[in-house]
Amino acid sequence: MKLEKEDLLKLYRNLARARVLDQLAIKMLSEGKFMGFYHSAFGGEAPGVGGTTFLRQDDYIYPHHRGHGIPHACGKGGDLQPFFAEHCGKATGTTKGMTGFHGCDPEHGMYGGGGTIGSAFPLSVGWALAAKKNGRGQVSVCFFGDGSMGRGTFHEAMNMAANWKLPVVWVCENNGMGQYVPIKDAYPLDDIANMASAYGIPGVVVDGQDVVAVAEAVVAAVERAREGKGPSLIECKCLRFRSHAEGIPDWYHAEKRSEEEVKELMKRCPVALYRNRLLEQGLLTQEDAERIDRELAEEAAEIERQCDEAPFPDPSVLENAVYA
Amino acid sequence: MKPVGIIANPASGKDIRRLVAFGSVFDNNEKTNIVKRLLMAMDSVGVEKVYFMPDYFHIGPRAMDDLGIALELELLDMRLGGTQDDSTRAAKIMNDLGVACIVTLGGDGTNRVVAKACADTPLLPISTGTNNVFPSMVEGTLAGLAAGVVASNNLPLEETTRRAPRLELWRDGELADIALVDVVVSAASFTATRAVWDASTILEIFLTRAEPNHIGFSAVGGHICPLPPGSGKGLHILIGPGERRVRTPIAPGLICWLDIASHRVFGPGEEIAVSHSPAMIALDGEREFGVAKDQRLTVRINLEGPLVVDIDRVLEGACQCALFVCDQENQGGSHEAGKGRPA
Amino acid sequence: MRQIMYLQAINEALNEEMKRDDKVFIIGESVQGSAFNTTAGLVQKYGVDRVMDTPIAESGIAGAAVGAAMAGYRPVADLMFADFMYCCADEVFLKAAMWHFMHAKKVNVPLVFKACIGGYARLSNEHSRCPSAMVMHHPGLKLVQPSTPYDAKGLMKTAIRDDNPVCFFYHKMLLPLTGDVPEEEYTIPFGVAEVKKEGTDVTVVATSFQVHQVLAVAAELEGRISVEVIDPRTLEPLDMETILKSVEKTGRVVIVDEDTERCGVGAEIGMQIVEKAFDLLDAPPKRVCSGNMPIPGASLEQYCLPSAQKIKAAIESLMD
Repeated sequence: MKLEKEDLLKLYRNLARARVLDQLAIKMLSEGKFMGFYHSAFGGEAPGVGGTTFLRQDDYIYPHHRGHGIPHACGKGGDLQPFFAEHCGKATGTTKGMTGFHGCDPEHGMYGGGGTIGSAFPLSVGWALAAKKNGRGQVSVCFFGDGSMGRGTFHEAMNMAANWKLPVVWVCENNGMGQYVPIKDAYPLDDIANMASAYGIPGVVVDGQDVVAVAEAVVAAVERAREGKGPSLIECKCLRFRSHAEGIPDWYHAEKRSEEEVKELMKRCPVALYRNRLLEQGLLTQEDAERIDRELAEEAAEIERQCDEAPFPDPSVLENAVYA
Repeated sequence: MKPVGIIANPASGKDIRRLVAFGSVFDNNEKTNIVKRLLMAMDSVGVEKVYFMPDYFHIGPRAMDDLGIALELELLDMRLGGTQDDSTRAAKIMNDLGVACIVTLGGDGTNRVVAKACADTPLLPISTGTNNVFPSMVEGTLAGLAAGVVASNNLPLEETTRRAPRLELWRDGELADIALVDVVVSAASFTATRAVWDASTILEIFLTRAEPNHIGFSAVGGHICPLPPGSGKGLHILIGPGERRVRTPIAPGLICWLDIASHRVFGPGEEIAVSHSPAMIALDGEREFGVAKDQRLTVRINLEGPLVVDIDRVLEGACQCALFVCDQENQGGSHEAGKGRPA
Repeated sequence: MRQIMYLQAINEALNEEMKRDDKVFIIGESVQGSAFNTTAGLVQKYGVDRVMDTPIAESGIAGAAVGAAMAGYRPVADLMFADFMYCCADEVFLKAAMWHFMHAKKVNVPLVFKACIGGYARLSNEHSRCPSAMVMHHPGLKLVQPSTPYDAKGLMKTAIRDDNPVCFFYHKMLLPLTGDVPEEEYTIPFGVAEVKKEGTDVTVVATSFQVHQVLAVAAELEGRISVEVIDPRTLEPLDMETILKSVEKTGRVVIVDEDTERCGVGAEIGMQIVEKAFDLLDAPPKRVCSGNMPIPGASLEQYCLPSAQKIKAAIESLMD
């Protein structure tokens, strides 16, 4: 698939939107509107956006918990207002206030995220199994962080999917940190992509701050999967600009992550990098960029307003909620 | 005995060609094995010190593990950015340290970035991968022996090395970048996953050598106007409907047709403008930077590129100098033989 | 009426449901050859895409079943020994059981976790457990424990057709048990207990293999103590109405269940009886369960599991 001008601009808009909405989430949590917690994707939006923008509506995805599905939903499509309403515990949320967390959007192939890291893997195998049985060329794209690869579920799923040549693409968003534990102290080698060869599948490393690089690689992997050539693993080397979760300290083991280091990392802001290249190439004008910023700000304000106004769910929703 | 430098690119083998072509996977375990063989060989001919570029896979320390050799491996004291700049910086440091030669493990791209900073320190390129023209498919032990002979300074440099040419990209009167094998101008808008595999985006090609028996863009030239290495000339090809079509292997397992509009041999002293803008410039197989609509980029060939060790000549020369053979009465064990006393 | 074995009854149910609905498929370790013969002969009929042999990967199997179920299929995930459920606890208890609720009923998880339970074969702790209480304890999982071939077939069919996750626990000691099973199509609804034997003095609620131990004890006590034996058949949903009706008649109740006593099935049913029928009781409820210890193997197993003597003693103690 060749990326035409409108594809490149779509990618930009999705990326800029993911940024604006991530910032909105941080704001709403700090104001007490969000109940529970939020794991910001600030700095790491490119893998989610790049990895989903060119998927089909009926492809399945498991979004990474970083960003609570926001970057992934921005690329996959669908209304994001219910994601925010859910975090506010409102009845208009994606799961009607039942979780305060899960961005469940079955119409766009998003079935929510688990609270245990590593849930992604076997479920993605299940969706890939369904995709294969359906015979319509669907794929299952599983996004996960570097921390998850420690779980046994990773191995089981990689093995099963490779063995059966299922249409699944494993996309690792490696930002180098698993909560407070750096990946270099959680894994003896350098690239998580190394693990691919153990299962006989291709493993590729891309710059996760470059949304076009991510898109290119995921599109190639998805096309292979659709053609029945089986799974592959794409490792996006990306960055995390804030702490693991809002409100908790930004630790590296037992010490604060150096502020200078974070400042250095922020020079590779994926949104700024992409915007600047589009401006340089004349694919985007300054007016366009500003117009998009304005529209996104309006959307954010509208999302917040609707969250404020929406009602909380009545406890009666808990009755008969356990079984179908 | 001078020290030797080793720059092993840890990144190769995991790029998008794994998805869109069929390149071999030279994983870092295999590179570690090659380095082990290099070190064993160098130690056997008396190399005492090796400088090694550090990396996140810790190839150097892993290679030294359980070798039990006298040679000392020292990791360069440098910060890693995790990009190709690391190799360029490492080459500069090694050149400043006065290493006899720099052994590289990688492809055309690795050697290109090393060549930017190695000055007159000779390169000894070992190919780790199948998409390569510049480095040799040489077994690591032999490369190590050759490096050791070069380090022993027993053979004159003119006999052990040859100059490779380089392509130079000039922008506004300044040298912007170099390439050792090919410059490809493509219609891609972004560097993205770097590799060039989509034939339909290719607009023009510049080559330092054109050989049908090599993979990659050099083969395109090889079929229409062969130019062996050392010809002292370059080849410029414009892609588009015209003269003829060429069937060419641009990557392992990836064979496509390219339309050749025209071609021209050029030499040092000439300056050829890149015909297309805006465009993306790929150097030695990797997209590197874009040229904007109103920018003027020109290409020259410079015959004074990096020095490259000629392994065959080195090992034949060593044989003639009796570096590997000594009289029965002088024998002090096989590892003593190379302590370099010319016949 | 024809008589077939318990394991054949399960096999027939699977066969009929796979024929009826091509969304049904079986996934698990060694299911093509079939560790207990319950899935034997099916791969020949339905092919490897519907009777899927997997590597040893419980989380992978259970999780893949959950994912496929959410995407519209009806998997039967065969976990072989119920003890192995501990290996995939996340997938069974947090995902399968709970994702329908967590997703505000937007997605269903129509699957069956099929596994064999129980001791008496002296296979020791990790091949003899009955995780019944653990399953009952997690709302969202239905639990089926058939004691006869007739119940096994009818309940398996219902389990597959149910849009919810169902744990189908079949006891290893019952595999060769033969019983009447009609040729005609039938299903058994969940939440309907069966009075396996009528009586007037003591109600004994028994599950799975214990139904047979209790019936044997009841036969022995016949003439002295009249025992009514109730088999809930499904523990979730649980038919308390039938149990309470019996307690109203007898005023005395023993619960006999093979899972560990502490916080077990007996604890739950017993407490419900006390809550709902305190005035009807002539004596406190009793329970006969496995001892509060891991299940020993070899010759020591018999001292941990419910035995005929312990059941008899419990019943008799209520008559004092």
